[in-house]
Amino acid sequence: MKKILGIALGIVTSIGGFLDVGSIATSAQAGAAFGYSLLWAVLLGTICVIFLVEMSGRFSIVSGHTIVDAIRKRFGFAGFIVPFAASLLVNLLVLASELGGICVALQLLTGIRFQVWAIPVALAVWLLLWLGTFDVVEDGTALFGLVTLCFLVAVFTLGPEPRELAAGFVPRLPGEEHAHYLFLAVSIIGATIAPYLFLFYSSGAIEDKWDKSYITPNRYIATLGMSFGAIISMAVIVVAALALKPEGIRVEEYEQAALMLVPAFGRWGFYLFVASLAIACFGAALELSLASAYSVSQAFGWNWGEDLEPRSAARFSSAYTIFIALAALIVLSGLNPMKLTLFSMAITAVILPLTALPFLVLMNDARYMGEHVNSHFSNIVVLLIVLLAAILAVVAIPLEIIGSK
Amino acid sequence: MRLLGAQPMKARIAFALACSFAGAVMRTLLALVLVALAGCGDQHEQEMKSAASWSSTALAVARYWLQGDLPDTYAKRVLQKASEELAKGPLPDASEPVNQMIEAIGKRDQQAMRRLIAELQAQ
Repeated sequence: MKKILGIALGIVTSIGGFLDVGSIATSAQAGAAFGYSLLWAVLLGTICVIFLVEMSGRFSIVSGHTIVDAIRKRFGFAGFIVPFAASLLVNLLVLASELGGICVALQLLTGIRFQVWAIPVALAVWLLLWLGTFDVVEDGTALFGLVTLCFLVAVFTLGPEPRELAAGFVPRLPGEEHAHYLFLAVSIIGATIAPYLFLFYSSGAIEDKWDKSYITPNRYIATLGMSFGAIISMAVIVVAALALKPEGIRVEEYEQAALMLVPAFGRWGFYLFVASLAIACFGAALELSLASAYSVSQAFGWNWGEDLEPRSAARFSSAYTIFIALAALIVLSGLNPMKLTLFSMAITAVILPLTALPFLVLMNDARYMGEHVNSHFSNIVVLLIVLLAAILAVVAIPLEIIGSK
Repeated sequence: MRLLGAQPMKARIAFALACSFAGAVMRTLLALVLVALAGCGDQHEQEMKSAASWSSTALAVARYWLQGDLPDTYAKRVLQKASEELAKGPLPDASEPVNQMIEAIGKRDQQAMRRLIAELQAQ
């Protein structure tokens, strides 16, 4: 009974915690510009992230190591430093985007410029990490994140045409704006397969002391949680396609995206969008800060754990403190939060192979995994999607920069 | 070929497959770059799309505000942004009715807002 409740809570928190600034920004822009035609990108990213999350949980359960810790031991410091530095840099950009997302939500609500909110928001994130426990961070914010289910309700209220919806799962280039279409496709994939997600999940399995009895629950949580979460991400595309595209509104700023729930819910739609953006970003900012501090601490062999008192894991606590401060500085600089988010997501797709490929090697190493090594099928699926996303990103990013000048 | 001469058949097949895969990836990449470059469009077209989008945003905000679906603070802020974007784009004239929309919200003048919506639609 306890395990079933655990699975249910895991699935619910995966759903509530799935949306973040990247999913909201990329899906809103995709739906408004290209209708349903980028639904396939969410599907592709979700297939890959289900495999990666399941693998990361299984890896920690079987080997007793976190991914970062094992990559350092398996490949040595020289082989570890490049993926480590790349993922930390991308984490910083994504964390700045998440903090920016919360600040923009507050700007929408109050009219006060988003930069003004950077320090108070950073302090709130830091305070919750400093005082909270792992369960509070993981479950508490994700339960609030269930507010994002309003996008799904909006889909049923607005009533899309099922045949057109189904056609969106087949990749095809639109009649115009190919470069922007490709860029959004890789940004969506990058937002869906964020490396911090499976690095965090792996550390979480250790924090929660999962043993081998969790191998099957882990599979259910990864598959059902990520699938249902992705449905919300797809719902954002569909709502943007139904509410913004017919009006001729392209989402260049969050201010425009905030209109998408109004046709479905009237005045409440605006407040639901603001709440969804703020809560989703807040939850993701907590996870990102922790994931980055986990990585740094595991890389250097420091004491780590969100359930430890800050004084017992001083360097771990310092790591997330510095990380949050740096991200707040990026928000303070006034960079356009929407552009920062989209580029962070596209860059995430570029660096995916750097984190996913060493992880795949570990998943096939019997010294760590014993009889639980990966099947050929899961290796091929992850390898193909990750390489495809990285190649597309390398092509699409320069073209988007040229196109937007 | 001499290097491969001493290799078993399996290695030759793997080498050939790897070469054809790399070739296919390169061709696909080249095709993608060409297709995407062709789709970059000219600068003016992009600016027109952006301006049309901000004009549509202003219209939607004004309409929703009239229905009582948007708070004044948000509506004024989006219209301010729309006005700035329109003023620097290829449809600078459209920024004037948008500025007047902001004033109409301040005065809670619904009649003026209806007139400005019609004016902006006409542009």
